[in-house]
Amino acid sequence: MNEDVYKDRKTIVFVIIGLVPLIYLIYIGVLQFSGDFKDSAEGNAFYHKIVYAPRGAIFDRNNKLLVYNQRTYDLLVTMDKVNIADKNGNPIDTLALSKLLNEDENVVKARFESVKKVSGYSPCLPQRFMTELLPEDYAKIMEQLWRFPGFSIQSRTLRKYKYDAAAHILGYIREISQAQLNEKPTYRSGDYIGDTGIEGAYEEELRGKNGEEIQLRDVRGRIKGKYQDGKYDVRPVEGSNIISTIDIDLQIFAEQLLKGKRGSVVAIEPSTGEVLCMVSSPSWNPEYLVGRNRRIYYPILVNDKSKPLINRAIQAQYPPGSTFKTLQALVCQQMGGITEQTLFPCNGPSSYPIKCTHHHGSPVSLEGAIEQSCNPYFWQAYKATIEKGCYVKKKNKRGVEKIQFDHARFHANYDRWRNIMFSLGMGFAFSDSDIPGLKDGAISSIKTYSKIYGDKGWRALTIRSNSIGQGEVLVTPIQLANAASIIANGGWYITPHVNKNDSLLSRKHFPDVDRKYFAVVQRGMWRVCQYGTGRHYQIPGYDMCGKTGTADNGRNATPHSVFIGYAPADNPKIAIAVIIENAGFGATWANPIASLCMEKYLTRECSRQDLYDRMVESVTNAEVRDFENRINSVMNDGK
Amino acid sequence: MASEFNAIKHVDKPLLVIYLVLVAFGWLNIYSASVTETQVSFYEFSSYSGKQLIWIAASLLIAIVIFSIKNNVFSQLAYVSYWPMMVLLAVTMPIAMLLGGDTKGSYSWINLGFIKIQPAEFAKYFVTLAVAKCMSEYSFQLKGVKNYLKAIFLFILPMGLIIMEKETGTALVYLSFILLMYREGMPGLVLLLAFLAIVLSVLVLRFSSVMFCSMEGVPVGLVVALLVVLVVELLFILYYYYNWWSVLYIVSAFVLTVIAFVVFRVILGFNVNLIYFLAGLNIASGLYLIVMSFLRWRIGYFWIAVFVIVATVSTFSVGYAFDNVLEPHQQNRIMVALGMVDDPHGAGYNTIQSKIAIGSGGLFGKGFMNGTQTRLKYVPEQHTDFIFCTVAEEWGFMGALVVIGLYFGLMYRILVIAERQEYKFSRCYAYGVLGIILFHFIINVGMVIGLMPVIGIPLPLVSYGGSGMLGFTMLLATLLKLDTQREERLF
Repeated sequence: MNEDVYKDRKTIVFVIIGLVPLIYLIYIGVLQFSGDFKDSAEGNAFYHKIVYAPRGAIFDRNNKLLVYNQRTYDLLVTMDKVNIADKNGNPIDTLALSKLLNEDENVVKARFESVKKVSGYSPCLPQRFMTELLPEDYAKIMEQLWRFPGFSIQSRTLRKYKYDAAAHILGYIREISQAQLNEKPTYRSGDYIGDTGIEGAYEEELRGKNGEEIQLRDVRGRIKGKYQDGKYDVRPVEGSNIISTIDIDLQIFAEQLLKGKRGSVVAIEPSTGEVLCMVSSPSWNPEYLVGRNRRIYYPILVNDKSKPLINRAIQAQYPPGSTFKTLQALVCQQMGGITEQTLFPCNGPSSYPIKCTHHHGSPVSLEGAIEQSCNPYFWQAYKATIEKGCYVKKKNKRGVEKIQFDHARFHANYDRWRNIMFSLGMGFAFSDSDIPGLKDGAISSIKTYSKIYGDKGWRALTIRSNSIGQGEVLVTPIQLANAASIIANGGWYITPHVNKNDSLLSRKHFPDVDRKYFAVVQRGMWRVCQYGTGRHYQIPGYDMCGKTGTADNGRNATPHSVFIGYAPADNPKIAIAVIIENAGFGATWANPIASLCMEKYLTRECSRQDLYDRMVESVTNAEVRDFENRINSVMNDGK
Repeated sequence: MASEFNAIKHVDKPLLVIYLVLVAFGWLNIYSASVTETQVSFYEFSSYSGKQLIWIAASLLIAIVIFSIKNNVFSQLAYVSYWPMMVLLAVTMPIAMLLGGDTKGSYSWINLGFIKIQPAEFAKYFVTLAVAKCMSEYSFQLKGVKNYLKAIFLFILPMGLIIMEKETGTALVYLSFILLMYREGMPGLVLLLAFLAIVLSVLVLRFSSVMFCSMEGVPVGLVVALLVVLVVELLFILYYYYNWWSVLYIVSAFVLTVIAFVVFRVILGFNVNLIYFLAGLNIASGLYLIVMSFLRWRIGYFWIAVFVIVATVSTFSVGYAFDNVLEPHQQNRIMVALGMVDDPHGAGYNTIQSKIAIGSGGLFGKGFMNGTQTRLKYVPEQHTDFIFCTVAEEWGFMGALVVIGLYFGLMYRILVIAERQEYKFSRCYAYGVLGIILFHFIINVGMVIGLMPVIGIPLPLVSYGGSGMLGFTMLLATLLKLDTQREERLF
């Protein structure tokens, strides 16, 4: 036998058989503990099927249903199963299927082909064959479904609107955008999300919580049942209903009145701050932005010259015009510039620096000035208020006494005036409202004026237009309505809101105006509707208070017609602000519309049918009428 | 015969236990990987797990039969059984073609109606016996071309036959006899050179599309490979002759070459290729060594020169051979294993799915029958060649640790048994078995975890497959039986 001289080589062999398993084990450890592959495995095998929670419904203040979900049914087909059945001698009976669906046989046959061209088509996954079947069709099809292998039915909910009204205030839902997806991890691509209005503000409540079913999917994408028998599935939580503060009858009524006009109506219940109606014209049928309609109508709404998507009631800034005099009267009293008894002279149209546009006696009291909307009175009151104590005698270097203007004092006065106006809800938008998209109004700051005129370059005379609600004063209709509400309440308000159950908003705000100063303004406003500019459109059987405004806006433009008011005078139930853009006098458009709306709300009916008809039929803005005609004809063509 | 079977008392118990545990654990995983919703019982014999159960029973029966055979019969019958086996391998392809054609492109299966057998799987057993017999003959020594050819012929023949059956993976297994030859005296240099060849090929292929210093037509792989050849040449010169002067000459030549290249390329602006400069340097150094071999009268210099020239030329031809000799699917698999292409739906599909399955296992796995990747059939061939990834997914890192540990134990026991054999035949046979199992382990597990190209060979004793189970059982049972000889002498 040969001598075994190579015995030592067993060591090398041992090293090999030891090293290889060690290297492999380390590599497996890296694969398993790096975590790189865990997610891809789940992505492979787990199919997270979303079980959508039904979205909450929206009701009006009288529990009338406004927005709800309609269950519709989609007929789905899985081509793989159809083909297998076909091979087993059980082909689809297209004739019977077409009869079942009330379609032509050729249409049904063509559907089989077009299904395959949908992006993301897979023969193993169910594809939409027919969509939006009605519940009665659904029952019929379910009975027969066994005859058509590969077909199944999936239910889906659509947002439905009971009334052709309140598009702005209700808002709409749409598929979530990529930008929102990045911010909101609980949403998935393709989810619906509320946009603007109540749908947007109460998205969380309305949406509820989507559930999830974890299904197992094999290598060819076929569903193989639930993961661990549904142990990890999550049940959906239904969205809660929202009862809104809107009175849908009033809303519809007001929307009708604003047909053919550009403008808005905001009505508030003074004692609660609840928004009764909020109209922005032009508007559209909320159904237009749901589901398949959206693709047709959205481009029209975005591109139209009349800009219907803007909610003018909360987003448009207008000069308040003479309606501002009511607030001016409050602030001037509060700051001691005038008292209830203060009289100022009025030279009528020859007054300087601001003309009076009405004819009345002179001198005039505060109450009379409101009634007659006397510009000179409020200019003088304004001057007396913000220049109060500014003219002081001072010794100069040579010891001679001279009257000098105290700019520091003037600035302090102006700042106080502005702050009290803010406390009355002017200027910045309400910070605690639940209405999304509120825009600020504007009252210029000292800084702004100083920048234009220089630190000492401006006095009351420079900014005299502010005294009568022109110039640098801008408000949104909802701010005006809230101002009416403050006066109606005699000194306090609750931030306007749209959710009836939102107790957080039931906090009273007290403006920095003593309550004793309100009575004179209320009386003045009552006189407006009794004897003054608003005397033609009293609500039959009710005392109303109001103030008209004719707001200039630009050199050659027709002024905006503005009105604020409330009724009944002794126990206000509704405060309102109406603005009709470029329509003319406040007394000819805004005033009657406001009067009709308040009557509708108070009595639930309309006693002045001819006035109503005249208002509905009048067109003050041709662009709006064009838009209304166009968008409604699209719908008719579609049908 | 019954008295022969009493040798079971002296059987190597650790090896026997490891064998049984691997078979049982393998069967559990086959069941998990292949069970379908329609299968009602564990034993349903039409299912993979049911069939495997029959094969395991048959294998145990064969093991008992082997234990009843006298020890000296194995070496006596080694050649006698070798030739019929070769004949069977040779006729497998024609028979397969006659009876029902190919199975997944290979003609290695004979369909007997009720079962399908793959002769290539248990041919390993008879070839191992024959090689062991050849190398243990009294007059045999691994010296001289004739003896080498004699031994190599015994496993090259079945290799060729199996390649003809288009079962390349199984054919490659026969290369594992190199381990046996190494143990029995083949120069270690051969192993080293083989290793070097693999490293160079991988280098050249892996970095064939990355350009050195972004010069056109100068792949990094080739540059590095040529430099490696040069360095190995210098190491050889130092190791065998300790000739520092030659090393100095060659290094200076290298520096001059680089300077020349820079001068031509950068200063004179000729569009010359660095590759040819380096290759020229290698060849020149080879010629220098040939001169040295005459001057010093040392044949070693000549062999080093041959190495340098052959290696240099080969590095150039690796790319050509890869493109023209291998089939496209083999090229793809190699490129995937080298990480050159990421082809999740084509050649890389198996590997990626298998990595995902393993990676998702974590420390303790998803639990028996709970591997989502396994149950949902993401990994193809999961019950056969890719069974290890079921283990890693469902039993996690601990499962992989146990299985790899068992293989280490298996191989270690075989090594221990091999080294304690009195007879050279037994030792050679044991090393043959060790080589085969080691090769299967390296290739199969390496393929499943993505370190090796996809070569379709099973994981011994664990993968589904009757012929394989039978083949490995015969290999191990014979080894255990031969091992009992050592005890016999005591009585």
